Amino acid sequence: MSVRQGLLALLEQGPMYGYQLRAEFESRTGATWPLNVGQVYTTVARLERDGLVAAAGQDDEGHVVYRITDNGRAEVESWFATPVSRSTPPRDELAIKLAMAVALPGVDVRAVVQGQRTATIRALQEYTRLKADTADPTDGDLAWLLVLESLIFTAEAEVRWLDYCEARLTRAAVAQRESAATDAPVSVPTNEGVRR
Amino acid sequence: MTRFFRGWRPMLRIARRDALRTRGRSILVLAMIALPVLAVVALDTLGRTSDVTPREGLPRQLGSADALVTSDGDTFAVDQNADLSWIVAGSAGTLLPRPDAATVSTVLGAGSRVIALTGGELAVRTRGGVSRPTGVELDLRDPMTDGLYDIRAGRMPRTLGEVAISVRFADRGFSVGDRITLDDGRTRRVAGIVESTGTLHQNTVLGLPGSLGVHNSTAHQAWLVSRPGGVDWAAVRQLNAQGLYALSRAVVEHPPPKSQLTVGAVDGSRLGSTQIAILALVVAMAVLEVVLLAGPAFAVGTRRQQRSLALIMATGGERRDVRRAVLAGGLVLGAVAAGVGAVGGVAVAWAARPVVQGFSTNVLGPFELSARDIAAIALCGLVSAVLAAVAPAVLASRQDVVAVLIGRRGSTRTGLRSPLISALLLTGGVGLAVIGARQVAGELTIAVAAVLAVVGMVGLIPLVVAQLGRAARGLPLAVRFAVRDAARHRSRTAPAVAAVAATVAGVVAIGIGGASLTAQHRATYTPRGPMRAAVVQNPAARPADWAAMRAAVAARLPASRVRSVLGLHEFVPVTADPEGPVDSMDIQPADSGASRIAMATTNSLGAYVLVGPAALDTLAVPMTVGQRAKALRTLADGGVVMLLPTDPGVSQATVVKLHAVDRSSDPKPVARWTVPAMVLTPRGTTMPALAIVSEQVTRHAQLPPAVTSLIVDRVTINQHVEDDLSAAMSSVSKTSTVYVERGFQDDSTRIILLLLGSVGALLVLGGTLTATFLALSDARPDFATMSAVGAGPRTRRLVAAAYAGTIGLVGAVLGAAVGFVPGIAVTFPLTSSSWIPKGAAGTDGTVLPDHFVDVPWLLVTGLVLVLPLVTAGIVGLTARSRLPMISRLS
Amino acid sequence: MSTVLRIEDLTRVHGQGESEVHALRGVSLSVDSGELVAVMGPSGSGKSTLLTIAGGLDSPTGGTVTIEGVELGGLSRALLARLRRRSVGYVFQDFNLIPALTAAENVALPRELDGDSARASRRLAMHALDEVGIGELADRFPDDMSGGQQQRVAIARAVVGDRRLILADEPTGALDTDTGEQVLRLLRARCDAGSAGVLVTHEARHAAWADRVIFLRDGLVIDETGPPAAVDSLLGASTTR
Repeated sequence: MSVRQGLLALLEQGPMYGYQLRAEFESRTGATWPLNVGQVYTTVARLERDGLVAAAGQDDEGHVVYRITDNGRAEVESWFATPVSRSTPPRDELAIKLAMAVALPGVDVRAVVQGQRTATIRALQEYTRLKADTADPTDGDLAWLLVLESLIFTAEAEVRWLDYCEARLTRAAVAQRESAATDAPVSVPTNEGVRR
Repeated sequence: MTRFFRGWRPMLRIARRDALRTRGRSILVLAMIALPVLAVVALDTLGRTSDVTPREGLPRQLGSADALVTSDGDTFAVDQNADLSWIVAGSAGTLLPRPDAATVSTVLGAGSRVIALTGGELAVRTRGGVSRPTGVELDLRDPMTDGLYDIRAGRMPRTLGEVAISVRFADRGFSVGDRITLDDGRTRRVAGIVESTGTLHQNTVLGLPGSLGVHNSTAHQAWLVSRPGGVDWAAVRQLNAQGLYALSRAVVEHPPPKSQLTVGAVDGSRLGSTQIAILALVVAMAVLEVVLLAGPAFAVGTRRQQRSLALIMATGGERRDVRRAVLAGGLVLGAVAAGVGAVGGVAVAWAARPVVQGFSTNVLGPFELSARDIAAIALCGLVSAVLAAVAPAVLASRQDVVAVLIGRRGSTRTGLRSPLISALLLTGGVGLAVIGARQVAGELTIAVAAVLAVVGMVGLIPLVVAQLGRAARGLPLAVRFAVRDAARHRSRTAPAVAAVAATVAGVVAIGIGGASLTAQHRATYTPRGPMRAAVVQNPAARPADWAAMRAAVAARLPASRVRSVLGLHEFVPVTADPEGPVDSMDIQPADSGASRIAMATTNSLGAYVLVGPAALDTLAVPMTVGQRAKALRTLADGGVVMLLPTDPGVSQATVVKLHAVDRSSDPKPVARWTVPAMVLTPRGTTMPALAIVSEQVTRHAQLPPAVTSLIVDRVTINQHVEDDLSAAMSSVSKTSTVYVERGFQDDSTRIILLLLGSVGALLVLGGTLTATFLALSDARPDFATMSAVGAGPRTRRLVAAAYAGTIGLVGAVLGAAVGFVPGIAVTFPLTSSSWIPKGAAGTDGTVLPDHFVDVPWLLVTGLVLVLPLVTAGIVGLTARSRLPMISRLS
Repeated sequence: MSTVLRIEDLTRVHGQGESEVHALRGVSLSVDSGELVAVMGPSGSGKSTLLTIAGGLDSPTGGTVTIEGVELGGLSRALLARLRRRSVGYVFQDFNLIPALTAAENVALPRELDGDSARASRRLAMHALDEVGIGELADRFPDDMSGGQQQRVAIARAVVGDRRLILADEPTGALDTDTGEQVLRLLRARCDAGSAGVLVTHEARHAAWADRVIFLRDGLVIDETGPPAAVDSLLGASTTR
């Protein structure tokens, strides 16, 4: 899980205590992955167990401050150097839903596609609005922007995939109708795209 | 060779397809090249057709005879060449008897046949009075006359009581079967109406020998002859020895070698090197003009092709291939245009024959095509097309392939080298013009200078256009757009502007030269007699002839006043022999030193020196009452009135009597004395005579005055009366001439300027319009954009007008500026007037300048300002106002 | 907020008889000032036709277009042109700047065509160019500018002289993602400042800048995103941002 590596990467920039780590993490990732402080402490404890971080005493207010060890630095380094694996695609509910919809008779797949598209675009609008608010990104905002942008690209890709699905479905429908038409010459009004 | 063709073949295929695809532009180019080719081919063919060569002219002159032998009444041996284009009348040697038919028969020997052809003036009574047709007596029954006349109605006369009349004479109200009355009161029946096969619209009456009575002193005597084996050159020479000329079929068809001709009789129609140089200049300028006119279309075509050309290079083509691709376009269009032009030219010439015949009374020769001429003209067209494609081809081969393929329109930078060369050419042209202006006969130098300057200017035009684009800020929107767009598309704009400029330069230069020459002629015009009077001269007339001529004038023009002018000829024969010794008289201002005043005289009244106070009235010399009184006094005192361009302020003159052994020898003074004198300064620079002297002077010089001319006035003498008078005088004495003083006539200059202006205007219009419409079609996307941002319908019209105005004005102004240089320069050699004495007075009385410069401002401003603005206005009014839709939005 | 553009039951048929093509089959749409509406759809869905008709470049077969209370149906060509000079600004995919005119002159074009003095229109043009952030490029020619700069000039031209309706046809089509986004930020800013905007695009990420997205299929509006949803719902659990 990337929370582990993420916290480790934060500690590489300097010693921090638990709350600090949580705040930094969220500011960088734009609250995309909200963390509760307990999760932070569990993770840090594991990191300490693995010898990647070490407790470095307490600050004036009594917070336990952690710092990264040499092993931890090596771990961060190898994390950045290793590309994220795409070998096992994440289980995608939308893909499964569409696959089911196509297979099941009586489901208007196009309506499903359009419904999903509207929803995704609406999400995209929200992301864009958030993005628009950070017109002049500072250092910290840049990290947040990039995460936001990752979401936008993902959503955009989803819309494009939906567009593709729709085009495929339309083509399949036309082909089906045509083969039906050769069997029984009944003209069915096509709903083909208007070309100019 | 096959390798060469392999390189061209695909390019020619591309060019052919491209020409078919872009039909509008192809037709434009075709027209630009085909029209000049057509015009020149048509002119050449018509010229050759209407030009009747001696051989072509044989049937109409000889009929079916072997030769036409002519007598001019010469009584000395004569000389001629084969086709009679050069003859020398006899004047020396043994005096011969007047030749007649027997003379001809004798020369031609046994077996020959001679029939007489006599022509002379006839008087025929018509309804309107008396008509004076030419009477021709010829035995038209003889087969030798076959081919001389075409019968239009009736038949040829067979008896002495019958005549044939020409179509023009028949138009006076005669037809076959009518009777005409000759002035002797006898009548003849009109047997037929005929037309000469050589000359149309003749006023002729034909009859058998003896039927008309044309045998008199004025008759023109000739003989048609036939001789077995034809009349050879030796026979012609024998006839010459008898004072006869001969046009022989055999000699014309097989001309004698030059060695057998008198020196000087050799055909002089070959082109001189100056004429060849002028022809070369004209052809060069014509090709340049065509190249410039067709250039914009090629430039636009190449730019439209830019992408495919870049692809040729991207797929492994070389620059050479790209150049070929564009040149192939020129080759294809040029070849088609040259072919179309040549065929069209021949067709137009064929169709235009009746029209041309209408302008000429000479019957046209057979329809004649010169394959060599047509090929040369068509080749010029083809070369023009290829040349027009050269500049776009070179530009296209230098384009940045990457920039074109990614769709960036790089702006072409003007190189430094070509403007530098052009500037040098222009400067050289101006310099050469200055040099030519200082030469005595510098016209050719200046013509070369003009071509250099124009070529240099053409090369500088892209630079000028680019600068204009930079200076366009602050101009109104439409003009700014037009100027900037013109600057951006220099390859399209520059040739059009150059075409306009070259045309205007030529017209302005020629216009200034012509107008200046006319100005000089007007300023230095010397009237040859009193205004509106007719002057009858006759250098060979004897006193009896003068009396007969006076009587003839009185008979023809009873209301007129006829005055005899008394004077001395330049050379007064001492003996009866005209080749013998001669006396002459010279008169010089007494105190002018030894130097004789160089002066041109026209002897306009036939006299070198006029005698007696009456001459004061017959000479066209304006004088005050005081001058007149003084002149009369001077003549009464036995003095002289000198005619000089300027008054040296003398009161005495030296009269010199000179003697020479013959006319061509140097005269030696034999006597010299001083007489009272006064000076008159007639208008113009050429004096009508040397002086008016008193009778005492001629007596003292022992030179008897004689009648030298007649002055007829107090009646209106129009062209018709002049012709009539002229004919009357000729019938009295063949050597007489009639001149009617009508003042300075410059109709020809006006017509030339008008013609020049029209041709110039046409070319300017052509250049402006093609470039404008190419620009408008090019600017389509820009108009679409303008429409999208809210341009009204007027905008396109305004831009079109601004475009036409820009091209026209820039070209015309540049052209006029360049044209002024050779124009002004050529006035120096053209109107050089070193022979005009300093301070001479012009026709208007003012002192004459050293040379004349007259700028035809009407022509210049018309071409430079009015025409471009009017063109702009017309383009603006006729341009489509509807703006195109933006293409992306469809 | 006032309605700037109102389209009602718009139909447009191209051609006749056999080749008859229905580009629009009854589209209604209204855009208020301050609002940016995106029109999405595959090619051939009629979105470009919608835009040409909305700006008076083309006329509908049926239905009405009203801009700032003026119905376009009865206007002459000259009045339509005046409308485009004064009320409507177009932004195109290929910028469509006039290469013979400088940036400032391109921007000043609508004002000059409207009869403003060269000086007055240049002042407005400079202002518009400053607003899109390229005031210093005023005297450059389009050929000497990058795509993004050219599109900024085009936007300046679309808004110069205080026009209230901006019609943009794939304005980012010829630009890379980042430059395209800057162009959309500009459009968004203009709409936030009170203009009404219609953006035709097939890219979701650009459409997302709009307040509303309309989906066009075969000349019909098939769906549209409603009023903005709450951010929180998308981001899952409680956030503090």
